[in-house]
Amino acid sequence: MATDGAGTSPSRSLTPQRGPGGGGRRRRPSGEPPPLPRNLGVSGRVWITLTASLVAIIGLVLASQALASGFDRWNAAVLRGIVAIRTGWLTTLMVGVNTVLTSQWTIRVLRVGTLVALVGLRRWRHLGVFLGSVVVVELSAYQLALLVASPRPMDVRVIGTWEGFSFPSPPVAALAVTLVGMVYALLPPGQPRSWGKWAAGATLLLLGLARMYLAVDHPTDLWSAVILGVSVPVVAFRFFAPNEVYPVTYRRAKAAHLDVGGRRGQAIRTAVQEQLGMTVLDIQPVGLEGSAGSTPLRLRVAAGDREPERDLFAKLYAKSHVRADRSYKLGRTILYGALEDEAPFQSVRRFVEYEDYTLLRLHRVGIPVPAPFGFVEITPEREYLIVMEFFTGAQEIGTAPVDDRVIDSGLLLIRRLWDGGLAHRDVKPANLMVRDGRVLLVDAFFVQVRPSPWRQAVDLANMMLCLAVRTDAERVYRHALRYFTEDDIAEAFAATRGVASPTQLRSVLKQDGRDLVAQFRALAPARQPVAIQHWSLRRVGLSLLVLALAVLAVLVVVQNWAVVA
Amino acid sequence: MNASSLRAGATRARRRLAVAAAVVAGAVVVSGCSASHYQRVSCSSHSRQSIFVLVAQAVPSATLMPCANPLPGGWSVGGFEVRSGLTRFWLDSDRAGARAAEVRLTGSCDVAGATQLPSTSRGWPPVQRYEAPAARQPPATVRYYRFTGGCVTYRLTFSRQSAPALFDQADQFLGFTTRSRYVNGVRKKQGLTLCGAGAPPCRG
Repeated sequence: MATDGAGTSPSRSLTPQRGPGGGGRRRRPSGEPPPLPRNLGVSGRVWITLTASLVAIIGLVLASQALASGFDRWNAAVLRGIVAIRTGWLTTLMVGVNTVLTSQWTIRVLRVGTLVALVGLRRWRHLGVFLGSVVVVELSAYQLALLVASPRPMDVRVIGTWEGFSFPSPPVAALAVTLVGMVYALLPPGQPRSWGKWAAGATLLLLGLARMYLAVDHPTDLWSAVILGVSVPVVAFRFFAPNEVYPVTYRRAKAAHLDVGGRRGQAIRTAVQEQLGMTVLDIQPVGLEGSAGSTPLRLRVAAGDREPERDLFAKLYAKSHVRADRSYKLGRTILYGALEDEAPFQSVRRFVEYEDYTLLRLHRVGIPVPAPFGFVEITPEREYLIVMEFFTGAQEIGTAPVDDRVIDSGLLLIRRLWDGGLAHRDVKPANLMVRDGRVLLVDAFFVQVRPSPWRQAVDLANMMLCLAVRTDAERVYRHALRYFTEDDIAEAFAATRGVASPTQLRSVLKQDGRDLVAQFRALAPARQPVAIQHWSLRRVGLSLLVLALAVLAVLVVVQNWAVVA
Repeated sequence: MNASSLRAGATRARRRLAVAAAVVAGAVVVSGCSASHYQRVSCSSHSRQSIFVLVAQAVPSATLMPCANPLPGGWSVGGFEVRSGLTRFWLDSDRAGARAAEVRLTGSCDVAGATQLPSTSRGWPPVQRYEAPAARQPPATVRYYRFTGGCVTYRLTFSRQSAPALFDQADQFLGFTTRSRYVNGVRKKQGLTLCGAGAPPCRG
């Protein structure tokens, strides 16, 4: 079957056709940036440039004694001008400022406080970037100080205590990386972060003025320390924990949900226009409460040649979702053994390719799933958006009226999955929609082709439970016998216990109060429970490996604790 | 070549430049450009990375500064610390262990109870030597070298009785360099004043 580059196929009846040129589609020429290029931001580039300049200047100073002497004389001239204004009260004030802001206790309290806050907020990535920035800045400042071996200021009397070589100023670098790291790890972007940056800048300026007044550091020591202490965390956070992917927010929201405003919103519009030939008029997050592995969206698209203006459903996937999926599967493998009987995905591209494939497959065997439109690339290997039909007018099964027609429709859906050699693996109320007495299935991400019999049995039991919550066990059981044998149903409820059901379904069953699983088991022939826990060498090995890595991580933190705190 | 290709080329070039700068920065930082600990504290050092100007600033009243004479096999300079009011460096021995000898310069020291030894002067101003009563458990030796504006405490983790061969070696390590040498050097090379003993008064 012929397909286009985006994975769409001629069989997709809902795909707009706009003439031989691809109708509104545009191929991105080689070398042109993608819709949402990876971006360090203006300030990120400025700090990288400053760092590069600093490195170049250090190289030149080390190579040329004359240049080094020139810097020394310039530094001394600046400090002579500053110390000329020394007065009693101002000296007392500056000593106080320097003592408080460079105290090891101040730095320690700020850093440990930040670490505790990040652990409490379970912002592990920000925690890692913060720790990494601190270690890199501290070690770089130490190594640079040894390399340049700059003494303390000359020609003027030094007031106050100091330690080691002066370039770059170690206490200023330590305070800078701590404050900037706190701003990026703890404050949400926008006004809070902007205020935080100003506060950090003002604090560093005050400390710099105090240390020049006391002649503890040269102006160049302070400037280089600020460049080092600011550029490392700014670039590290922009690169490893970009706000678009790992947002810092205190709203009650799932970490999986990405912000679709601003640059990303514009990138989605551009990508859908260029790659699918549809004009997006509006983007709205939808059904966030039922989704934890992607950012579900409703796209309002403009009328085409053959279609009216309408809504489409889309799911935005990013690298963070791949990592979350990997951790989830690893955790389940360790906890339950063979419960998760598939390998994790290695990239976001594979993620969306797989969901696109499963949607097509389900569509082909007649399962009522949203018609797929393919996927678009937002940032290569980092972000993709899969687009499909939006079930307009459909209601979630938890709120829709459930009659005999709906019960039959739900059970028939599972029968078709069985016959097609498929398992959905996430049958829960949030994934079952009802329209015109027909059950529609959404979220094909977990679908498995040629699954284990256990998987298929669990799908049946979960569907029966979803239907029984809105009706009763006996009625659903009676209908189920039209499509499945008694032994099939017995197997389903022998296989379904605890973690085999999705969390949302378990929660709905708990709220319902009736022991529906027990009622179904009483109706079906007796059967020994199917074991969920499976032990294997792989499970034991993985468990030991994770344990060893956890111990190693703790040891690394303990070993570097002196540097951090 | 169209505008978008040029833009993309410029983006790639900037990226490469940034990566190159980062690599150079890392290479400079981790490379062996730094002098070794011994070179920094060696009495014969002419390295611009020596610590003696900093030492002169740490204890500005001291007219002499301690340094390390050439070390025999089995000894190495383990590290140093210079901060306002104090300078110290220490030596590790493959036989006596880490920090087997430590040299500490301060503005003054308490020599009460110590025995005065013959003074020494090898081309520098006279130095008064003292030795504290030898500790037996654990064996240790502490010597003081007093001179104008400063005092050096030389502490060994062994004694002449417990390790005679090591003691003879350690007796040769400690040397002195004059502050005036660095005061004059800074004045000559940079035209600046290394404030403290032997220099004109500084501003502020």
